[in-house]
Amino acid sequence: MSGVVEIEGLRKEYRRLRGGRTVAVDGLDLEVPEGGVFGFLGPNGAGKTTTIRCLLGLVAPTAGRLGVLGAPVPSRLPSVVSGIGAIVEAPALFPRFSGRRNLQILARIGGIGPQAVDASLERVGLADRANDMVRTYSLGMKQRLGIAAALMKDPALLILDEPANGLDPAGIVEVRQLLRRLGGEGRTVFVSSHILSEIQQTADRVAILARGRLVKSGPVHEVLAARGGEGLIVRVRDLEAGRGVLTDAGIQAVVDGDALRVHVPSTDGERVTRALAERGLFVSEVRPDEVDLETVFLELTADEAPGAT
Amino acid sequence: MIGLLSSEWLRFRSRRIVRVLFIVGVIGIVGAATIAGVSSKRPSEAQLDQADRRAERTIARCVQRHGYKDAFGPRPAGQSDEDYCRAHIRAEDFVDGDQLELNELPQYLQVGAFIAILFGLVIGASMVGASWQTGTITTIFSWEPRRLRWFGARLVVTFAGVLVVALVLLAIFAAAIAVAAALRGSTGTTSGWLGDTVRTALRIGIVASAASMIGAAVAMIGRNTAAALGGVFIYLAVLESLVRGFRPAMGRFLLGDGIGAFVTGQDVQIPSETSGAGVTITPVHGAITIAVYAAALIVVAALLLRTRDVH
Repeated sequence: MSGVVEIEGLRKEYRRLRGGRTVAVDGLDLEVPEGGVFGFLGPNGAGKTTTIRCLLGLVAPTAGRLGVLGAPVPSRLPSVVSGIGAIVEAPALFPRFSGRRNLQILARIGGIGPQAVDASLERVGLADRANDMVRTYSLGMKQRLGIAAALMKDPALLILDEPANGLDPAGIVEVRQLLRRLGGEGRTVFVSSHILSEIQQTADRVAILARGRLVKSGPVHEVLAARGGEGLIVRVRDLEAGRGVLTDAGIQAVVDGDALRVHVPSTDGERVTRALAERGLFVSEVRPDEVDLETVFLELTADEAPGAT
Repeated sequence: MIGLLSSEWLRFRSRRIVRVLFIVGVIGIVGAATIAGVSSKRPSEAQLDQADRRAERTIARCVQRHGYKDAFGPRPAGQSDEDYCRAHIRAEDFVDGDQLELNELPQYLQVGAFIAILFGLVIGASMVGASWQTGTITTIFSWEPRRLRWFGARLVVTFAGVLVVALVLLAIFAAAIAVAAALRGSTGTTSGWLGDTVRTALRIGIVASAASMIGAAVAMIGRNTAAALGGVFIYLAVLESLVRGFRPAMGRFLLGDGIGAFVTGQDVQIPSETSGAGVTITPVHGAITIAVYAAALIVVAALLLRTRDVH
């Protein structure tokens, strides 16, 4: 394996209080290449946070091997931890300390100078609230402070668990731009999220997890293409007649709601509209049948029920 | 390790509970010294004359009996019986009434030991419990995954921090009592008073720090400040009391008796369950008992921390 994050056969079981076991992650294999933004997706209980906790040495795996920045976890994690910036779930900060004091405390652990504290606060737009107690911050500000803490290390790998949680639309756009910028700087950004539109716009590669198992991974465009959704959406007044016309013309089409889903390359729009027009059916709308990540995600995880955190 | 210690020290001195308890402590000390000063009654001339006479009679008896065979403690080489007796028998000791005496400062400090121990326990428990309750332990471990190293740093800082704060508070207490005694009581002291006072203060500071270790360890086991404090109080107030009541001889293994012997710097006698000889807990025995309790709890806490999943 040669990825920045390497996971082989990861399994994590939790004992239930009343006996039995809950399997949070079940034989997960994953490799995250260096550089860019990697989206780690899955419904609630899919095992994303458990996987991240295992990567950071917070939780001991039941089975499997993990590696981060080339070091096995947890045995050699201390040697690479200075290159890892992380937020797990909501950023956990000292609520009665100021934002600056929070960062100072962490900076001292990492032997980081005070300039980096100010620079990080500036970078996430918290410089003017740096001396206020964290408990007075909004959730979005806490998220930004958590990101500031993670960035203080100037990390090669950034692990962010739902970083857009609690952010307003402007904050989400900021985080999106920040992630892209960080990924573009050659860092690896490993980000879990349930805001799939954000991931689609931000990530280069994704992995989709369901019930502790990997159900799909790869570059975003490949994951979307694998769903085989290429085609056209065509709207005509009489859908059944339209479907019949296209079938007669050797073009496969199905009625899908109030439109026809036509299975042709999206560049074949002219052939479709001509066939319909020749039979007196005029098209009111034609557009490529674009598959988004949300659709793929929902299809891939449709059968899966939540089971872990 | 330096970075960790520096980080933990910054956290310790930034914590609100430390500041609040320090301020409450200072207010309490000022209040106690004021009450002690106000209720102190300086003796009348007649009472002083009477005390002088009683002291002289006692000194004469002491000299006659060669310093009661050095009953007040070791005698410096070459010191005469009279000098020895005069060094330890003071007219102030024979004054009737409720006069505040600086000479009794070590005893006053011992009364304050309970508060110092409570202070140490609360600080120690909250130093660890708060990290679990706020979830900041997750953040810390993503910066320093060597958990035992971090725990060690936190214990060192907590021990040192509590010791410093306790000694500062005891110094303020001593100063306040000195002022009150100067204004409304007696500032006369016997030889060895300063040494006694310093040793007592150090013992109390160390016990407060040991209590902080116990609090921190129990909070690490229970992952909660309140649970740690409740657990320790139930143990000391209920369990040890039951043992003391039903099996007095087991007192030598009890934390409370060990603390008592160590803080006072004097042997604690535990009567026998039968007619035989009782058990004596020396200050050294008390110190060892405290250390064993703290060490055992720290080891259990460390073992749990090493293997525990952090959520």
